[in-house]
Amino acid sequence: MDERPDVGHGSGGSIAEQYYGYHGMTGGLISGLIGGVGLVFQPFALLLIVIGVTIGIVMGSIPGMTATMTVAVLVSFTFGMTPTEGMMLLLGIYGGALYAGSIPAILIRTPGTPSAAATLFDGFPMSEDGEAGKAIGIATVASFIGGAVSVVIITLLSPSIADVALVFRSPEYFALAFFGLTIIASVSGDSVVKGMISGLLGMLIATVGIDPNVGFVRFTFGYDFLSAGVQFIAVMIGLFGLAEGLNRYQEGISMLSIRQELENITPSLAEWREIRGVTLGSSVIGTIIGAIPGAGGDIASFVTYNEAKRWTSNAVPAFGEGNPRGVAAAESGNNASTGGALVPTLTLGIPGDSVTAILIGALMVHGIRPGPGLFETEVDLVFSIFVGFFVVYLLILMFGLLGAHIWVRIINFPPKYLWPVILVLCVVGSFALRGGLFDVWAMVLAGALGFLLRADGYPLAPMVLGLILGPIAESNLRRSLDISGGSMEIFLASPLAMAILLLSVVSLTFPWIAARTRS
Amino acid sequence: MGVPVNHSDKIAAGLLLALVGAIFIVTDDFPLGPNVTGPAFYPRVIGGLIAIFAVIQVVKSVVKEDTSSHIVDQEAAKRVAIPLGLIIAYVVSMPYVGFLIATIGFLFATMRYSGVNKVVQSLGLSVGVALVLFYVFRQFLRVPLPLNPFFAFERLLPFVSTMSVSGLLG
Repeated sequence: MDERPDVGHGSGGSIAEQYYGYHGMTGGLISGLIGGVGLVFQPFALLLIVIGVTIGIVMGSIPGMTATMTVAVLVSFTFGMTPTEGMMLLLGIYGGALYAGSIPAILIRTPGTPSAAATLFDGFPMSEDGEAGKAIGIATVASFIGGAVSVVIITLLSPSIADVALVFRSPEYFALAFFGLTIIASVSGDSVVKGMISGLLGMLIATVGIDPNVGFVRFTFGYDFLSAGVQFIAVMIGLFGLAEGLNRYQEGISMLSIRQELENITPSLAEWREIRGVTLGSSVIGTIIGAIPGAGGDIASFVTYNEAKRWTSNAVPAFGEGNPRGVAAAESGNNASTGGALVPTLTLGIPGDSVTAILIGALMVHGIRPGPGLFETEVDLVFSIFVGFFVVYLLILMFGLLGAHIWVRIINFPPKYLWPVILVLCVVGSFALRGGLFDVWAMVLAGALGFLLRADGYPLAPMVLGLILGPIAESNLRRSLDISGGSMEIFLASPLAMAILLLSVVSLTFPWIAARTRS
Repeated sequence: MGVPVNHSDKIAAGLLLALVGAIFIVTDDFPLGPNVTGPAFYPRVIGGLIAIFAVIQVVKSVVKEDTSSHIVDQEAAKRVAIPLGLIIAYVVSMPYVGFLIATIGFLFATMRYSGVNKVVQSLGLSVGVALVLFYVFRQFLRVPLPLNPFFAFERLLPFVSTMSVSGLLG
């Protein structure tokens, strides 16, 4: 994206035209989907989806093992694969872990992942009433609907969004990168100031190495291995893998022990009728929230849960006391956010959440930079992502309903065996990036820094986004100023850039205004 | 027993301002470049923004009379320092003993520390996991995991390629 020349989009028609146009909207879409199906329905790609979903469900079922951490420590396995195969594995883990976070939330009132925090409000009371099987069944169906609806929506809308992005020039790209950082800082922690500092530190780390505009080597202090910069995947493994591990050791890794027998997992027709409205509505809202950079599954599930509560008057049992619609709303909302998060990731190259930031890194290892250009140069990859993610959710439905008896036992898996292996994977994963110890040391430093920052209330997600958005912001800011002779008027001259920058100011000041209004 | 750390927000802001000062000193030597913005421009913009937010953080904590106190529990600190120390020892030792021995040693020590009490179980799992990772990464993913530089016994293992260890030992 930062390589894009500062001119409008050339000939060849819009992405939407190329995407839908040749055979009409339906015909183009269908031919694209057939291409995607052809790539995904290869034995190895399908096997990777099955492996990914299984790993995701296993890890998501264990409290404390987040989707981000799992994807971060396992991303190195994809380096030897084709981009499509790598994406299948990672998307499987992403969807599987996000879904499975609901299992411990329902059974032991401990969300497996932060996204499942709203699920426990009604899931756990259902479990206490002896309806754990029903709650897990509803969570499974709602997760499937949420994920599937979001995939359909993004398949239809992404090309049009990429089209809009094609008219972006340097000022708009700079504004967009800045907006991405501000909105992430404002939604990812209690303090916008700490979020911004975290994001700016990420941007600063990204300046190490060769300057993108004139090729000057910065901040290497005479060490040649710093010239290529800091690999942001190594930093991510440190921030989300090692820092999380250190945090777990600090809290003391302990073992849970539960025994639950599940029955009546598959929802009946009457139960489905009860949750369908809430599930479909939450799926759409979850997709929209997921598409906002930084607003991931946790925010989506709380918003959809609250909306469901608002829609349903005189609910019996009341929300918070074991209403299945509460479980359905939270689970469809958080799973729908995964598809939504792919929208800015694929169309703009701006990650929707921490997991999609790692997906960007995984694609960059293969020399692919997400952004509107992806829809022109890697159409097959884009379609395979859409088709593959749909298959992921089909498998989640199948594995969730048929394998629930197994997954509930995984909650008991002792962390004392798991964390040492995860720490080794952090080291091996960062070593695999370039086959050297420099990236391993970068990972260790990032892990230690991440642990300290987190302990002092600095959110880590903005730092990762800063690492990704930093180079985009720099090259486009400097290009804009070079074109305008140093005048900031170039930003005022672009209504789109101005609008995005104004949105950035709103996103920075909104939490402060909201707090003042509340008080 | 815990050690109180007060005013952590102000301390962090002070460290950030020192970092900003260092950025401006280091970038002072950067060339201007042929265009309006040189290589120093962007790091200084980031530094300036960090300084602004650090000052806001200080002002906020002064206005709110927030001492942002933390109690650093020495036991908890030890629980973090030991795994971190084990990782550092693991990474340091890898070029000297090779991936396999370093990984087996690290896993064994970490599992014992994590509460796996049976020696045979810890050792068996450590050897098993290290071998699986060695095969997956070296054979399947072609990652040049380091071999023992004194005696590359790993080559005696079945199906281990003779791939060089470029990037690590030169």
